[in-house]
This record gives sequence, C-alpha cells and structure tokens, in this order.
Amino acid sequence: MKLRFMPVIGTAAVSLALISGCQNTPTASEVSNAMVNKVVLPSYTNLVSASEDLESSLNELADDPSSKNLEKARDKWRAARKAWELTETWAYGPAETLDYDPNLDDWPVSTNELSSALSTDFSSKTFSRLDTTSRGFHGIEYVLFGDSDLTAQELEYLKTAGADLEDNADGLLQSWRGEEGFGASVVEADPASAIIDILAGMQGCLEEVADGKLGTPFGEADEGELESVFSGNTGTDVVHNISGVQLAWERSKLQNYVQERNSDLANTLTNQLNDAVKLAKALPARLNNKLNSSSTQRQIAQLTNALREAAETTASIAGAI
Amino acid sequence: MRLKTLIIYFLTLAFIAGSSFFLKSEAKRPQENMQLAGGAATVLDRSFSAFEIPAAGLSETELAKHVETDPLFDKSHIPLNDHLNAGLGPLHNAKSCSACHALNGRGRPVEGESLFRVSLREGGGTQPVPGIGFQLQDRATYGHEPEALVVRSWKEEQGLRSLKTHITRPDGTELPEETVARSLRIPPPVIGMGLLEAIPEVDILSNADPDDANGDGISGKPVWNTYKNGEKHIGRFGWKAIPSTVLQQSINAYLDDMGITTPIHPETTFADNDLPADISWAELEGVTYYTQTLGVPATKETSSSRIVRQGFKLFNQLECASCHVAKQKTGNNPDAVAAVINNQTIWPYTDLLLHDMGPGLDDGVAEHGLSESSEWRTSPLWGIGLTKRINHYVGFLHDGRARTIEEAILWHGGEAESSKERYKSLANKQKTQLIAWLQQL
Repeated sequence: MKLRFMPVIGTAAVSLALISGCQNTPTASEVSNAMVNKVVLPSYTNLVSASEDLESSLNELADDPSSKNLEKARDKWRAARKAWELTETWAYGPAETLDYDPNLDDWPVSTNELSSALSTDFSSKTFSRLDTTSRGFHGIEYVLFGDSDLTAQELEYLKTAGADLEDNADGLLQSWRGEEGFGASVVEADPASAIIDILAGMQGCLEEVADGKLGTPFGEADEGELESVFSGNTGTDVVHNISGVQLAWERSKLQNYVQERNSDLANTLTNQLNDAVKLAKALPARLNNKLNSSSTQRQIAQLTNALREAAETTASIAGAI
Repeated sequence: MRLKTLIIYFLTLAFIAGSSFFLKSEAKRPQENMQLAGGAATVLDRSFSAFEIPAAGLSETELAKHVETDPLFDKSHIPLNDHLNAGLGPLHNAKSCSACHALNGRGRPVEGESLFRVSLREGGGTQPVPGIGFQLQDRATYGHEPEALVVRSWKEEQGLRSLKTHITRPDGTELPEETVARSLRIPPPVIGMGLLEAIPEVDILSNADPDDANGDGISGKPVWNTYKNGEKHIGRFGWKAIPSTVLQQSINAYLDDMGITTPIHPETTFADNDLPADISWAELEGVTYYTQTLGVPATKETSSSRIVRQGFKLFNQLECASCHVAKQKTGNNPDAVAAVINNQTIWPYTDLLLHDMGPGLDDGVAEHGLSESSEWRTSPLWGIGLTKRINHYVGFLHDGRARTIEEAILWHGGEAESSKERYKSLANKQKTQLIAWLQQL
C-alpha cells in the first residue's frame, strides 16, 4: 500500500515545490507595490518620527542648554540623519522634484550667511530669509556640533530649524501617500518603469557615494567637500547610503525578481553590496581628519572601487531584464 | 549626480551596431533610424535619469572627464569672503544649475525661484527696466534684498491658461504691467546640447528664410551674435537662440541666474569687472564639458512601428516639420570635445531659428533687439515624451503654460497658425496618433 501511494505523494511534493517556487518569484506589480509600501513609506515614516524627536530635543535644549541636553540633541541629530541617509536611493521621486532634498540636505553650508544671521536678533523671519544652504540637516549640524556654549540666537535658530526639518520630512512622506501620491499614481501605476527607476536610483546612489561623497573630497584632499564634516558623521552617512541601496534591493523583492531572470547577476550584486557595507563600516571615524592618511586613502580606494563595481552590476541588471 | 557605466556604453554600442544592420534596409524605405535620436551618442535609457546619462560613444578619457565634471552641475554655490559679493549673488534666481534644470530636465515655475526676463514696453521691448535690467532676480543672499517679488496666477480661457503676474519692488512699488513687459522662462532640458552646437552654420542657414522669399508663410530667422574679436556666429540656445556656444550659455547662466562671475579667458582668474572671478576657468569649462557630453535618449518606438509611421506622417502633413526640422547632421570639427559628436545624423526636431509665433505668445520682451517679442527659437522636441516621467510635472512653452502637448500645439500662432488650424481639423483618431508619436520622443 505504501508503494502505491508513493508516486502520488512524490507528484504532489514536486507540484507543491513548483507552486511554492513560482509563488516566491514576485511580479513587477508586486515589486513596485513592495517598494512603495515596504520600503519607501516605512522609511519616510521613520524619518518623520526621528525628525520629531530631533525637534523635541532641540526645543528642550533651547529651554535648558545643559551639556546633557546638548548631547541628547546631537544623538537625535545622528538618528535623524541615519533615517534620511537610508532613503537617498529613492530620492528620484518628490525628494528631488519637489525640492525636499535641498530643503533637508543641501551642502555646503553657507557659513558666511549663517554666521551673519546668527549675529543679530534671530527670529522666524530671519530664518525665512535663509537659503537652504543655511538650513536642514547641515545648517543644524553646523550650529549643534560647533561651540558647545550656544548663544540665545543659536538656540532660537535650532528650534526653528528643527521645526522646519520636521515639516519637510512630513511633506515628503505625504507626497508619497494616498491614491494621488507619488507611490500609487506613479510607482505602482507603472510597475515596469518602477523597476527600471529603482535600479537607476540604486546605481545613482552608489555612484554618488563613490564619486561625490568620497572620490572628490579624497582626490582633492578637500575637507570642504566632505559632507557631515562638522559632526564627523561622513563615514556613517556612507554606511547608511549603502544600506539604503540594500533595502531597495531586498525589501522590494527586486532581488527575487532579478534572481528568477539572472541569478548570476543577482547573486553578484547581493555579495557586492554586502562587501561594500563591510568596507564602509571599517572606515575610521572622523574622515575629515584622515584626508592625508595613506591607510585611509587605501581604504577609500578599495571602497570606491567596490561601489563602482556594484553600480556596474546594477547597470548590467537594468540592461539584462 | 548620475552616471551610466561602461556596461551601458557597450550595450548601446551593440544596439547601434545592430541597428546599423537594419539601417541598410531602412535606408531603402522613406524612414531612417529615427530611434537613434542622438546618432551614436544616443543612450538606451528612458528612466527618470535618462537626461543625466553621458553620451554613448565617449572614449574612456572623455567618459572619465564627464564623470569628473558631473558634480559641478549639482554644486550649490554660496556667498564667499574672498572679495565684495564673491560667490553666489548677491542677486540670483538659483544657486546651482540643477536647482532649475532638475534632473537635467524641464524646470517648474517655483515661487521665489522663477526666472523672469523683463523690459520696458516702450521702444518695442528692447529697453532694460531701470534698476533691474533685463532679468529679474527674485532671490538675494542674506543681508540683501531681491530685486522684486512676483506673485503669479493662471487665467483660464477656453481650455488654455495664461500667466498673470504682480511684481513689486522691496519698497512696495509695483512694476505695472502696462509699462513693464515680463516673461517667465522655464528652464529647458539640457540634453543634446553638444550635438546642437555641432550643427554647421551653413546647414542652419539653409533652413532660414527671414523675408519669406519662397512665400510659404515660414520665415525662420537666424540670430547673429558679434563677438569681441569681430567674429559673427549664429545663436542656438535658450528660448531666444542667443548664445552661440554651450560655453557662452554657461557664462550667461552663471552671471544672470546665479550672480557668479567667470574668468574672461583661460589664462586669467579675473572677470570682466576687473575683480577676481567667482569660479575658476576649470570649473566653467567643466560645466560646459559636462553639458556638451550628455547623451540623448532613444525614442520609445522603433522607426518601423505603427505609432511612428502614422504620427510622423501627420507631423509632416501638418507642416510642423517646416520649423521642427526632424533631421540634422553634425559637422566634422577636429576640436570637438568628444569624437562622437562629429558626423552624426540626429533627430532633434528643430531648425534652431526664430519664428514669429503670433500675438498669443508675444510677451512684450524683445531680447536686446536680437529678436522681436513674438519670436521664439524652435524648441527641440527630442525627449519631450519623458517630461512627465523625469520631472513629474508638465509645463510646455516658455512659461510652462501648456499642461499638455495638445495645449502647446493650440498656442501656436503666427507662422505656425496654419499648422495649428490643420491640427484642429484632424479627426480625433488622427490627433491621438500625432500625440502618441510625440509622446514617444
């Protein structure tokens, strides 16, 4: 009796395996849906939450400028910074086209303008006249990680800038939400284009980190070209940028989608991203102090090569699928 | 900052090689390979970053330089301490190239960051506005006042909209519309500029007919610029075809749009105001090079597709191609910044000439007397179908008034009046065919 049932069980097992395998391969619609609902919206929700925490901590600091509150505010800045840097892969949406990116993350800081504004009575009206190069993450960073003995004008600036940052983070989230939001009306509405755009976003982020964030500053030994130089957070930014690329790759199921079509390229990219994150995590702290260090330069060269290779693989995938 | 890599470069070369096989058979048919809009410089990309890809066919050295100069286009400028008014501004419209040319595409008319050309109406729009000049800078660095603030609204009439503006100086005085002409200028895409620069002047002139000698109602007019050395060259770029070269376009944009001075020649660090220039010659030349070596996206459809056959046929029947000349050829310039720019058959759909577009598009601003206020350079149409994909916003014509391609067509007047009327008399099915073809460019 056992032998008679074996073929049936065997057939059933094979059928089940086949069905399971097919069900593991996402469709383009599933990828675009996951990108919006499992990657972008959660990431921007985290960004808003982290921005709210930062805003609260800056308000607390303004009320009581103790060293404890200063350190707390700095930690909250780092946390909000992480939340933002993870999202740069999908900045091709409203972050770029509705100016949320420059409102949140313009660089370099217009130190002349900011210093001039902070030397007078500071109000929300003063803030409204500042360019984006005196606001956002880096404007706050410039003041928060500068002299610990903050003036009344600087504290007022931090409160206003914190509220402005949160406002922009929330605007960015809302721009993706809902039926009329970018997520539904653009990304999910055209899954085939969405996949190409995700890959282009990944590639763009990898190349920007390789060339703009690391290659140019180290190539020219120019500290002024290094983002997040005031907080010494450059290396951490880079780790989170690459992690954001991984998020888009994995959590959107794009990895599975590509795996089905070209497993070699999919596996190559996965490994390259893992390697790049490891190399980035091994960078020393305060990269701005290491511009002329030969060992750091070797590490940077190794990382930028790894990033460019990952970018090439991403381009290959775009061409292959 | 976006860069497609050597892999895409080789894939594109393979595509072009493959296309060449079909080109031989295509050449026997009326249509050529229009899908290669930029010839060998065409890029196989219609993603959101399609306008940011380096031209296909760049050598390894040329590609490396493109990558190196790419960040200059995104660079945010700030006020500096080096000398009086060093760096950005103080008066400006934007602080980086990409602030207006977002993703290298078509800009939006953002409040507080819009570029208005202005002139006194008296004298035919050729006179500057006292205290302002020909361009209104609505931004200023901290401690300075912008020249004016502009409040904009759209007036809707018979399905089309036109711009209404209220311009006030910082002291509250108004610039009345009756005496001050104003023209909002949307930043156009920056693709293919190296290719357009390489079209020989004799070929541009072959389409010119400023006195309408042939009586066909089309009078394409070249804009002649006289340089300090006495040489005259045809203007090609911008809404009014004023700058002759990408370098001159860059110099003008730095100064007029960002308040940034540039060196007067490579061997100096001084600007023509005898003060140190705000940026180096290397930076100016770098931005120019980056722009010159951008690719042009391939069209969505192949030349033999039904959409292309039907739409292009209508385009010619309506005589749109009288001004939007479909095909051009670049020359052979030994000094070209990239070899791939030379000897290309390209499909930009422009004659680079000025045409009178009628009273509907007459905003009263005549540029330095180089054009009438109703005259506009024929806008290139390549890439137009990617506008929504890249910029998530659609606003065609000089001030972005046209929300669709059809609206843009319906605004055509003057020399294009008859083409517009032919379009209006098309059956709906044919209108759809024409629009579908345009949207795949």
